[in-house]
Amino acid sequence: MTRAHQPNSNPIQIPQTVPNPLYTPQPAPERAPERVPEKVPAKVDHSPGETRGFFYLIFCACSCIVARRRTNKKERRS
Amino acid sequence: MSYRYQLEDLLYLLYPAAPAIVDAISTNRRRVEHGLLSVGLKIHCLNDGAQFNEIVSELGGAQNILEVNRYKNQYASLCWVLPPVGNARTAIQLLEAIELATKSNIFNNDDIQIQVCSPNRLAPRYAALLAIAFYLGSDVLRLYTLGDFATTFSKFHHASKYDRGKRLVLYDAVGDFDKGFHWWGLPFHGRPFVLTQLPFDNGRTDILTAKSKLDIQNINLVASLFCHLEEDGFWFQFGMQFEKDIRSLLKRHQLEHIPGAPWVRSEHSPKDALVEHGDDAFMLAMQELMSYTLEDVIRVNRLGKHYFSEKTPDGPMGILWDMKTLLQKYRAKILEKSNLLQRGKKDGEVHDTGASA
Repeated sequence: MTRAHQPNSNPIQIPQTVPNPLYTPQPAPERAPERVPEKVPAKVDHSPGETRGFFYLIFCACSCIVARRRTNKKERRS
Repeated sequence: MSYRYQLEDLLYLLYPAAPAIVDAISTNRRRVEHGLLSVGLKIHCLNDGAQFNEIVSELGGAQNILEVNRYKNQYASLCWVLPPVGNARTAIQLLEAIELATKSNIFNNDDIQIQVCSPNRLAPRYAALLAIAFYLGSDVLRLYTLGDFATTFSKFHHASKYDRGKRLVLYDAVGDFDKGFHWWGLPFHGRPFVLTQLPFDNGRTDILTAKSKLDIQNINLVASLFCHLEEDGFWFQFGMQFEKDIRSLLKRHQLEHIPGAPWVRSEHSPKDALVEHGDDAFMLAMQELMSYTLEDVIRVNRLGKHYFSEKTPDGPMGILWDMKTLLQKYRAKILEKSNLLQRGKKDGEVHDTGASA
């Protein structure tokens, strides 16, 4: 800081740098707070559900057993 | 500029802190962008410079790296000369990498003064216009005192040809000169005649007090335009128009006499025989420019920050606005033409006409 003194007066402080106003970063525009909806719609469930899942599990187990039996047969023949 | 180390050594030290930036620098270090000049940098440290101790000692110690140059700001603890690079973008990246490695700010730091060096000694009238364009185009306007320009080369005990006075613009004192950068010569069938080396053997024009990235870009642009004007480069026409435009800008603001002051001092300055007289004359011009600019700053601040972004320019808009627009205009013109040439090259319309490129 450069100080200019005058008799019987307080020292004046002159800044050494002044930001160029054309380049000063402008403050971000103020955003209105996001509105919270009064009623939230119920969530739609698109999952297969318990019943469909249960039958799928049985189908997988059966196909595994069949496949296992076939391989056993092949092993016995060879 | 004397520096007793290679850029590769510095990049090796910076790599752990900024690997991506260092990769970009090592790829583009010799690349000349849009035919503009190469950029050299000197960092004057106005504090104790402790943040650079580690890098400097790794490079070879202060005695080899810093004290090899007698030149520095009068009040600086050290002046670190960086190796020149091909373009302003890489120069900025180099400083960013140093910032990351030293964990300290270089840009917009009151304790650091960046000296931007451009190849070729511009004629005093162009050097004056370069300084004025730099000052008015900067994003940080400084209120200088004459002491801010004092260097160890301002005045020697006995009259010397290296007395540079206290000026914003400095010529070189005949040191090392790296001319290994491409030069875009006069157009040949509409395309630049590319030389692999700069067409001058020595000489530099430096701006002593850059502070920001924009400063480096502006200095590089304006120095390139004037250099091409003097040396018959590819941007000769733009350089001529730019000189005309900047002079008419100064005339509009009744500052046309300002470039006539001794903005730079060389051994061939007959009017400037006594260094101090030249310093005073330069400072008078600088003060007039500073006070005029400060008035404009106050006016813009009074009108409001959004004044320029909302109002279309249909009348006098102030010197800061005029300079900003002028620099933007020429940057856009150069980019446009350079991109056109690049596109033409890709399409096979432009052939490599370089003498040895």
